[in-house]
Amino acid sequence: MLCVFEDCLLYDVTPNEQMLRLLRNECLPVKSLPTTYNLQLYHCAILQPRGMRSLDSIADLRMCSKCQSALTKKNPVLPKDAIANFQYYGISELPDEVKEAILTASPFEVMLVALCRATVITHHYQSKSLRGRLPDEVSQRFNRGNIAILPQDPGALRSILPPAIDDIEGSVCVVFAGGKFTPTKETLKRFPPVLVSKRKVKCIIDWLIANNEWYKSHGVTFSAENLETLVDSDGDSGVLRGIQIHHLPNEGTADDGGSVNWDKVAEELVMENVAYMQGDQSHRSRQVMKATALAHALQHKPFLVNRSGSTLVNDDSPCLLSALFPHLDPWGIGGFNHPARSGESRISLERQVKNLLRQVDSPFESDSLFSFICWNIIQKRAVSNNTTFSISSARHHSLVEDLIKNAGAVHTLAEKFERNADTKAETQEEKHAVQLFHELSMVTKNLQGSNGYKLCRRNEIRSLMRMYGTPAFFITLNPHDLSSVLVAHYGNIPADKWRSMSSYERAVFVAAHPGAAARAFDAQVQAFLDIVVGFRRGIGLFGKCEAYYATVEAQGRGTLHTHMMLWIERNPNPERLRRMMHADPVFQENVLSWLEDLIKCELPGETEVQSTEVEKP
Amino acid sequence: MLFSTLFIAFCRSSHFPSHELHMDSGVRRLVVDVTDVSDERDVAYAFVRREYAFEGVTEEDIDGTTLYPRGPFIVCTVCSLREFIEQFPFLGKRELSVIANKHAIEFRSRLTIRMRMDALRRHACVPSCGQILYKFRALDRPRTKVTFVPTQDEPRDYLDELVELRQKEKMWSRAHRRRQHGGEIVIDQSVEYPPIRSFEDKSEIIQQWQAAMNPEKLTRGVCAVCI
Repeated sequence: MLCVFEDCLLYDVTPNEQMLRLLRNECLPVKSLPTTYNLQLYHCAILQPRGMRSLDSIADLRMCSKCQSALTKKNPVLPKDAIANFQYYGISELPDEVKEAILTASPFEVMLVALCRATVITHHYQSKSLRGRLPDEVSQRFNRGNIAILPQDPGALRSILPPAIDDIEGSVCVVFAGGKFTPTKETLKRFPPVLVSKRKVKCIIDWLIANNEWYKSHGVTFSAENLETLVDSDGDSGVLRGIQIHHLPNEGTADDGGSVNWDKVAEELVMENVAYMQGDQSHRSRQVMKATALAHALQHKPFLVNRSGSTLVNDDSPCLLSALFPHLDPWGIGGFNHPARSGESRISLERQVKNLLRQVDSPFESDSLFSFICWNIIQKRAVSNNTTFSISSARHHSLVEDLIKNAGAVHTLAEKFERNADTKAETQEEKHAVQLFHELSMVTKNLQGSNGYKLCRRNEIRSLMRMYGTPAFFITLNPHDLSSVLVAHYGNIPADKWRSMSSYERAVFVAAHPGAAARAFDAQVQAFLDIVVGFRRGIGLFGKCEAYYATVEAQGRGTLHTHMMLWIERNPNPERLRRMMHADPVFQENVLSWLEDLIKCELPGETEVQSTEVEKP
Repeated sequence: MLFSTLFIAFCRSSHFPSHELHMDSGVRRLVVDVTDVSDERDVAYAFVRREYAFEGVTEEDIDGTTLYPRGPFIVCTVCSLREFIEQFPFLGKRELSVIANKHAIEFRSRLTIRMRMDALRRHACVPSCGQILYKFRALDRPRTKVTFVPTQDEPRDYLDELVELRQKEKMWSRAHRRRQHGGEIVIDQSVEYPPIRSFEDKSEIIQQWQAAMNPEKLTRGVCAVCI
């Protein structure tokens, strides 16, 4: 639970009482306070033991530049990213039994102890890699979809955990792909990843009810009856009742799995969590949404709808983190938008998510759903904040008049679209309404990944071209993560251990530590700009770089790479360069030798193609 | 650096013409009329720079309750517009346009702040400029870092500059460059292009890269405070 810095970027600071008092957090439960160092001696300051010179006596503290400047200035303030600012989770202070249960809890068990869920989860087990593809465990897979945070149990069941079987039904689905056997309910009882331990679930729920602030305030109670009904077993572990099991068989599958050694299968299987919600991003669905929205507005309907019954949990709710991820915030003390944060120390959800993912050995980084759900919340907010409708200036006035004139047709069309998205406009008025939809375009220029965002980036490049002319080089930089010791450095394992790992082991490590791989990539690209390109540092390998523009992409395995354009001082545009080369043979010779000097098709001294295939041993 | 002053009349009633503050380059101190015999006061430019932001110009009556010491505003007159512009450098395009309008000067939108300032510095007030009052609002936090004003060059005629600007833009226009490049190609021998790097230069870059990426030099530590 710590964020690491290069050693040279840390400062030794002698703590004083004022500084330590700032780092206290009076809202934390006494049981959750750290016991790994002498808390009283440090005036109850919430600190990171690994950054302390001494745990039992007052000694210097290692601090990054931001924390140092915030705490040592004339009027010291609490650094926003401090763990004392509600970013301490007290995992090490959990009772041993609870800690063991939480750290080893499967996604099924977490689902049973959580107050709410954000997605419908499918667990997808692939028993055999497809030919020609990398093994799945060495890939950083991605999820696509929109999350909505659903209370675990609508209505009366809301305060009872684990939820009733009715709530679980239809929300968990296990898909087995491949294999020469069909898994049955009986055979699954011998498959550890899908089993749920009653003892663990009970242990976690009991502890959460007694110690978690949000569970207490929601009045959650434990239902032994629900647990017995949910788990299909007389003993401790069993398969969850109500889950859907599907099998995508290979050709010739006939075995019912009765003779299969499931323990062995479990070792080889790859489990991947696929989260999805209903909804898609197709043009057709946008058209339907646009029609519905316009019809709603034209009928003067209210924009706030008051409904009874269960509602979605607000993304801004301070209990969100603990309710969704009780295994990550078991004490309920480090939620987003915590109400006890004072004005100046308030931090955004984005910043806190970034902080949590930057930790070394972060449980947040390794959680399969945390990044997906938080990123989706951030994206949804960005959509709300950035979406604008755009029409051509010539139609500013007439479009409104046309819309009002065709309000009836818009309403009819919206109803038709709701019934069937493939409906076509029939009457002249409806065709005119469809024409109006085409003229009304949606612009999301600050939403990453949207067309508007890409257009803005292209315009930035056009501006640079206008300013500096044609770029001289287009560079693709693709640092190889499996051979970079920087990944080990940021993944917090010794370089020697990294060197002794096979390609397969390294690939598994990279897939499990995407944050470390991303930081290693960033360090390499930054070093490339500083040292090789020499941007704002004099003349680099390509000449004096006036400007650069780079975008980062992820390829199939999840490895990052960047495409970059470089503007070199005095580089003429292609037409002029051609003329100059045509006019002066010496200049022509110089340009060609310069390009041949910089652009190579092979590494120096290598003439054979090297295989980079990662094969499972 | 000149510590000239604004000669400022603290207006305490709605009949401000008899209570105006005056800004005058000859006055170099803040004078507070404690006996309240005179309505006229003067205050150092340095004080106004530190404590106040420009609010606008006015010719109308001002509610006395909003003025110093009861309110956050002060109003003043200036003896020299040039001196005011030079001594109070916290004026943006909009503020400069507001002042210019009162002096019957019209700015085009493309003029830079410096051009606008130069135009006002060159302006010689005429009777039609009238009695203009400059209104300032007290800052929530005084400026602590800006106490001196930069030395400025002699003001240039902004109309001349505008002509130069147009010519420069014309020179850099795409059409002009195309015409220029369409003619005889003259290779500038002084230009270092292509920038071929020597073997030593490349070796140095490689060494720097190896030093930066050397895992033995990468040591890691933990901040005791932040996450």
